[in-house]
Amino acid sequence: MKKILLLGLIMFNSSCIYLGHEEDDITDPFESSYKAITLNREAFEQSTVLLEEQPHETSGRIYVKDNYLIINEPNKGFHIYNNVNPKLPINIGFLKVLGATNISIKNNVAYINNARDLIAVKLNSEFNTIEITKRVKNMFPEKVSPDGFLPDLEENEVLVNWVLKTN
Amino acid sequence: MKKHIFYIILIIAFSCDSDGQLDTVSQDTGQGGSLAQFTIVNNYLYTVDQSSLNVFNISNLEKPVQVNTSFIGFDIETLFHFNNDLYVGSQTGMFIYSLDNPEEPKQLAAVSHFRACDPVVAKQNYAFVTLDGSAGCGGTLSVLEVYDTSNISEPVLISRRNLVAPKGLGLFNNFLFVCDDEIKIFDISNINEIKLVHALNVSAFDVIIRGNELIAIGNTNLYQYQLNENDIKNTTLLSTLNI
Repeated sequence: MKKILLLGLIMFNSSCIYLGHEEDDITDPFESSYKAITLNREAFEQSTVLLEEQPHETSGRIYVKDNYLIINEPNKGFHIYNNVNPKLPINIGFLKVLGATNISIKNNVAYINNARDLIAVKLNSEFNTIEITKRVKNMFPEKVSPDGFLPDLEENEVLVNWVLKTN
Repeated sequence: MKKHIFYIILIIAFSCDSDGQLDTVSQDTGQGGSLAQFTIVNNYLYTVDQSSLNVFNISNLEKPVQVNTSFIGFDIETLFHFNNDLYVGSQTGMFIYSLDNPEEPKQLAAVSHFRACDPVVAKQNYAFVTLDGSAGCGGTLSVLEVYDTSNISEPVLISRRNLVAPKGLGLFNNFLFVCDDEIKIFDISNINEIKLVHALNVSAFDVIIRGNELIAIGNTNLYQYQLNENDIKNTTLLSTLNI
């Protein structure tokens, strides 16, 4: 148990090291190989929008509601398909929600993790307008980088993703 | 008492984890796969993150209100509900919570297993868990485990079989679908003699089974199949979506 704590402390401490020096050796055990992607809170809270269809990069969780099929693009948002004909699902757009990995929908309201916030998003039946009706801030823990680091954030800064550093 | 200790030792020794999920899906609520971390039960949204179970009252759908949060452990991965119980899967075990008081989930059982990724589904009296030792969660065994949950506070491991790299899973009447190296369909009508009856040779990591439709997602494709309960080998591929 002590060992785990110690490791945790080391990780926590090392996370305070600035992540951005690209000339650094990415195998340094005290620095993440990933770069923290952040936004200031104002920009972050304005970032949830409906977009045209977007290319798929990584497959995340799936969700179905009525005739819609929803595929998460981890930390970026959701690909929306009209699946009224399962033989021919049609991509109708992308709901951009930064830091999102989960969705659950009741009636016309979707609940989504938007980085550390939980947001309630009201949808219309055609899935072409959205409105954030509530934001519960800082509900969820900070996302840890894939190699186990926490970000070093300024006040008012929101972490939305980690991307592999390119050297 | 001795019996209890015996069970505990048995469970620890054999390691298992049962997560149940069989979402009682009402029409007004959508449906996620077995890897979901959010689930809606009546007027409540439940979410799990790395270490906590959170409860939101959604009586007013547009204005969710956080009403509870509790620390439940480390490396929490999945959340499902069946009947009035929540099944939480973590990398080290499974927890079952009663929703008798929906705002205060009460822990009924905690079952430890070896370290592995572990989604779960459940039906009446049984829970099915996959443990994927190949997925970087630690551990090296990859198995499907079946638990008797007729006494919900004392799940008992009744069988375990080795698979390749099992991930998401789903129930379709008396059949269990498991995303392994391909999608394997087991007949579970006789729980003591579970048998493979069919396999879909596609790569997927999770499934949603809704009515007679199977939706399976993999890293590069999403597949939709029509299922036939009376002839499980008669699966019709409806579409393959390149993603």
